[in-house]
Amino acid sequence: MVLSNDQWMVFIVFILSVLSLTIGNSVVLFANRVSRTQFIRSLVVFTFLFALSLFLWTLSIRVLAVLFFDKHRSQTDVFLLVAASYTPFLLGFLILLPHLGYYLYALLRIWVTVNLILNVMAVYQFNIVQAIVVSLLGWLLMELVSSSSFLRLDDMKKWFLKFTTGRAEYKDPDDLVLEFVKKQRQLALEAARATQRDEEGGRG
Amino acid sequence: MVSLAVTTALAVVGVVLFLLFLLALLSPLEALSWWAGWSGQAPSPRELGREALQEIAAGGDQMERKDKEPAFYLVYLTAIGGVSAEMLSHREQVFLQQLREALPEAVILSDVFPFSVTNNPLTGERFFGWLWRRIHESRKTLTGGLLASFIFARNLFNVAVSADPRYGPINNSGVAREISKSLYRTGYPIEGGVPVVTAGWSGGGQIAVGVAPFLNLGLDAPIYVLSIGGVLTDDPGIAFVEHLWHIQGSKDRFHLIGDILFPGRWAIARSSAWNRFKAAGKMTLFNPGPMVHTGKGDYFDVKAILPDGSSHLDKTIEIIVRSVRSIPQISRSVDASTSLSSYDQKLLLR
Repeated sequence: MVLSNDQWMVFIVFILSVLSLTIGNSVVLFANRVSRTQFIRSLVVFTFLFALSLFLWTLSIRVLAVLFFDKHRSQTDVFLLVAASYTPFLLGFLILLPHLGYYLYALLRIWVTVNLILNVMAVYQFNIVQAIVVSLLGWLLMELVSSSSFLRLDDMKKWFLKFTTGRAEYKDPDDLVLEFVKKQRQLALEAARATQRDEEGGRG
Repeated sequence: MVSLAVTTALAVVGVVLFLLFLLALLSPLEALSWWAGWSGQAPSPRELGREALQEIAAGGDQMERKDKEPAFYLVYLTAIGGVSAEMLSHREQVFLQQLREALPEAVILSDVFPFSVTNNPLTGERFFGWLWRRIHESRKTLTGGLLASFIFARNLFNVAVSADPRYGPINNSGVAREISKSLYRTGYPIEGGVPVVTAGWSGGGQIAVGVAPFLNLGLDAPIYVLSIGGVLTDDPGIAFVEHLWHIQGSKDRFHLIGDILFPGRWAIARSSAWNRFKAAGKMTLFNPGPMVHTGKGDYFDVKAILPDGSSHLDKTIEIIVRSVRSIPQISRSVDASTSLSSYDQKLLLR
């Protein structure tokens, strides 16, 4: 498979978009107290995993297009059409913006979905309903496959997490902080009781 | 000539907007890097207990210690114009002085800078500390006054960080930790139980609500919030507040930031923490008269006089005293005391 310059450009922009999106969603890495090296390693690995999930989506779009409408396109063409749809995620780092980032993320996702449907229409010469069916069912199929134990994706994810950060799972920032505060309270009380015992022992 | 002036003005506006954008984008990093241990040692749950015991053993701050057990503790959190807890404006200092006189049964603290997870002033030891110092020192000049907008912006973005569910828990737990240290330093019992009132002016109002869960769980204390023209968001931390008193002058429009920008505050979001809190009757709204948010005629103005003859500051203090003394634990303690504070005497003479 040889990519033209334009195709390379789409691919590079796609990788940068995914990297930017991963940075935008990196709060979970900070919350789980990864080191700087682990942070960078995680960004690279997450970008790779994201690209892999996109490959699966591409595959599902191709399969559905053949099954429902008997339309054939090459894997490269479909991959590039999906990758090109992700261009708005170049702004993904803006998700970091406090408060506003939430809404921007929702906006970017809508933008990407609309892009994808339009690109599927263009590449397959579909009407809008056909494009929506293929794109969204493709996404649904991908979700089903990834949530089933068939591909052992959970195990793979855990392996990647262990490889990048040395832990098998990430905890939610809320849970981590509450756990921390409760522990802090418990330890403060224990320390106070120990001091009190020492003082009483000293007096005795 | 005109086009050159326009181009220069546009360039300046562009640079200012870019700097504000950068400030906003980087604003969560202070809390995140503190938590992750990127800016030093990561916080450990063991530290607070150790430090609290050291403070208690050292006898704490004698200035704030009372002869008898205080009925409650009030922590004042400054507004977004602040650079440090040590450098409060003159009118805030007058307000705190009068509040201490009006509430002799309380310990009143103001040594926590609410816009930093480590209680590090903007003018303290930080990468751009020198820049914030320069801006703060030149505040009284025209250029300095304009540059001071960056202080407001920086702290406003910090309020947004506190209100953002992604960053809020980390940021607010850090500020709560600093408040806890300050409370222990002034004799707060480690076994908890004594009411804590967090009083925030402007952006300090959001922080006062944001820290509530972590103070409640970390101190095992009932938490009350006093908002003085506070910019209140839809922070779910409000569920941990026993009661909230919100003082809002009729000429203060800053509350609209919270009313509009935070969907959880909208009436249609019936199941939001804010609306459930309101429906439970835990919120009291006071309109003290035609007070503005900040500056001449604000909540702490001693010269501005209301139709009933009291100054803005007197009115604000009167509302605060009435509010906090409605807390059952406090009203019992005040009823038991026979002596009148100088503020009570002033009220009786009026």
